[in-house]
Amino acid sequence: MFFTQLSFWGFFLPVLGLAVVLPRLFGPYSRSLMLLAASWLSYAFWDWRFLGLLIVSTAVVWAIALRIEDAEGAARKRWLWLSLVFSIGLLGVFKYLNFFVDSFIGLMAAIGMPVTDDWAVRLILPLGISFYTFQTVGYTIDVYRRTLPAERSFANVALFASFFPTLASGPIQRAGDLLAQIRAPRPILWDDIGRGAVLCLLGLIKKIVIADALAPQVAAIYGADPSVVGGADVIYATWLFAIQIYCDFSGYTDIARGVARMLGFDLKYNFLQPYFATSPQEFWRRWHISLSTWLRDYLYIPLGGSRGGSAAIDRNLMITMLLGGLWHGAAWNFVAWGGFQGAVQVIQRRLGLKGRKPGQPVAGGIVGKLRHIVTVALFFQVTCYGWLLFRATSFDQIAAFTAHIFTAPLRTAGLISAPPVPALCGILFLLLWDLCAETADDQRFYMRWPLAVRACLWAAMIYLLAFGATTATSVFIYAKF
Amino acid sequence: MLRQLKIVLATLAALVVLDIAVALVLTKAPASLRSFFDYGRSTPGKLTQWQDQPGLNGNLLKVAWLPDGLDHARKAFEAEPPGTGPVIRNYGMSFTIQMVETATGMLPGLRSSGILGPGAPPNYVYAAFLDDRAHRRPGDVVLFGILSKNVPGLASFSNQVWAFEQPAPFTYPIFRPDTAGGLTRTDPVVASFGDFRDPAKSAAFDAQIRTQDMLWTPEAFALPALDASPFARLLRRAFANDAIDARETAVTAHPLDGPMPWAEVLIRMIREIDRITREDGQTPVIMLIQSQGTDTAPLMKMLGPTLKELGIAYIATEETAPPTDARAFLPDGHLTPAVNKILARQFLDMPAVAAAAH
Repeated sequence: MFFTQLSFWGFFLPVLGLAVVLPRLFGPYSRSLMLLAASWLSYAFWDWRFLGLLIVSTAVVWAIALRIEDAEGAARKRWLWLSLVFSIGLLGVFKYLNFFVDSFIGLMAAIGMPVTDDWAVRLILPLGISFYTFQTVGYTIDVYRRTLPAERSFANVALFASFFPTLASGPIQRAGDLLAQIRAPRPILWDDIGRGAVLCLLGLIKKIVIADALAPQVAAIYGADPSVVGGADVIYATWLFAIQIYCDFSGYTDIARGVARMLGFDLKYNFLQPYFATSPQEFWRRWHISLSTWLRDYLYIPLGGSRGGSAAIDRNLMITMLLGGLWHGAAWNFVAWGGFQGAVQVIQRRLGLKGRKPGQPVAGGIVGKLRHIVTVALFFQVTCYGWLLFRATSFDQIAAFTAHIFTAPLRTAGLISAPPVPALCGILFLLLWDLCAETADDQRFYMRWPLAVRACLWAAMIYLLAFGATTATSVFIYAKF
Repeated sequence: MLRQLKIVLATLAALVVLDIAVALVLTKAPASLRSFFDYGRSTPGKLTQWQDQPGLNGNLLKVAWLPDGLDHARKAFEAEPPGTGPVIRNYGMSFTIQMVETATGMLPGLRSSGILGPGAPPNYVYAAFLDDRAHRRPGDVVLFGILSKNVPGLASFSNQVWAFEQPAPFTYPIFRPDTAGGLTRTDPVVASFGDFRDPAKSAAFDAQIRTQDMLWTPEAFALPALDASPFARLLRRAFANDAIDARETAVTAHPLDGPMPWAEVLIRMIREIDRITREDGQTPVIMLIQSQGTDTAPLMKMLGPTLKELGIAYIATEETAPPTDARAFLPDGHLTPAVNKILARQFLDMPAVAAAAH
């Protein structure tokens, strides 16, 4: 049940109705209980067998967090480690066991000692396990650090871990944000419905009109024989993939935030016009912000962060980004992507280049603006090379595609085809939308516009969605992480 | 709340104005843009439009009716001069036409005739093969095309049910496995264009597809009055295609069980084609056309063992044009001329075809 499927909206609308009505009849806590039941139901709808895993892992984290709060000294640390080993162990087993088994078999074959994999346990990846594990790990560490009190109510922790708008693909929620809102629910206002609907509309346009429409063009080139494609094919497909993955994931996030907003919860921004970044550091302030800040707070800083010598900082950056890459998926190309992201950050640091902050004005008049545009365009190419690593299906493909880009950048094997007209309209619309948000430094820039103009904008967006809505049956890319 | 209500009403008003503006612009727009918006017209709306405007581009009202195809094949057969050598009897669709035309281009002596339907599913092709038996001679080569994308059509009576954007109304029987190892044939109430124009038969057929056709979807047929709105047409296109895709996927997912075990049906068809052609002294050639993409019925995987077991000559396009290789396909999904050349060469190299050419 994904956001682009009618079945989701058939599920969501009654839930929204109950979320509005129940607190008036039975008090605010009834909404949380109903949302927990709805979240578990939607998870069971995907695969009921993994609902038990979700509930058990949540119960363990909840119970250990209470122990951590009551314990002191070494015992406190032991409870923390137990919780981390349990949560990350589960993630490791379900997400990475197949990967390590395959890597081991590949290694043995490479050194001339082939083994059969008859004994290997093959596991299905439970939906959203990377996201809810990071949420519960963050919660446990926060309790350990005493930045948060342990939550006494199991239902509250369970809703925090399994809140259905964010369960499949995030954004990764901090206990300090979402759990606090669960503890102190507020009434749903008409304004929440309106704001939520706008976010959902924007997200559906990104996903259905743009991302789904670009997927076949990208797949045609990334699915072709690497020895045949030309450099121009690879460059074109990778540009399209950059747009596709942005629209896919930020579209999901917009809808998740919109749905949550309609239910009375505020989720933080996860994307801030990432392709307007001018440096790796700035990119990570704009892209998948919930993951990058999680990695910063719970991995990079505990590793030593920016303290210590230059080599130590580089090491911390590399470890953080490599693990961030591995978080995306159990495959070596994600590790390579993480390594690439770490390396470009190290290079930026070594060159002493300071990253901009999103929303920071561009100085230097017209010349400064032109320089800024050129920098954005050039850095986009760096980002795209990262996406090539991310999208590739093998190291052979990475090697061949990289060679094509540098040796025959203008050659095409005739695989380039223009995206459908609705997708082109969608891309133009999104570019204008992001430009408005960037120049106004306000994600809700449209609120400054008169009501009539906003009404025309919403009508045009609804029309654009209908224009591009063909068969939106593809799943979200980040749902498999 | 009043503020929210105002914005909702203003948005709805803007949507209506925009829809009217688009409808007006479309009257003067290029044909391709008009077609884009017209794809979402309801199936009854498209059929009515074709009846009212016979000269309309893309009118499929009269194409591929089986009785017409059989009549045409009979006339062509009767016109063949005495002593005509072996002929390629082509039962299929555009893919088989293109391959045979390429082959005849390479070897002009090759003669061919056939019964073909645009987007014809295997049950159409099989019915044509069965009903045209009298119009073949010993020595003929019987080419039988199966297009993977159209395999779900085995569960349907007509392209108007599942080919939403181009709902050609020609009809065909549904074949289901029986307990004796054969196939049971259920014929549609409307069998010819004449039947289609008969209001009583048309109404009966409407009832038949609603109850017996696994691919029938209300999204394609309901509320034709909404066709006046371009916005409604866009929405219908999305919902109807989505609903039909879901039904096709449900059929494809069950090759050997369920209400339409398509692989079992195709295997029985192939066995019957083999039996009939050999009885009649003809040579069967099965063309398995694997459509672009990975979501259609895997023909070679399901039918390859039967073809090998029976020793039937076949062409599997996936061996030349892997379904994931975009270079092998034209933007409309057909195979490129280069691929057709390779397939035609394979076809011409078959001993029975080579004999026919002489």
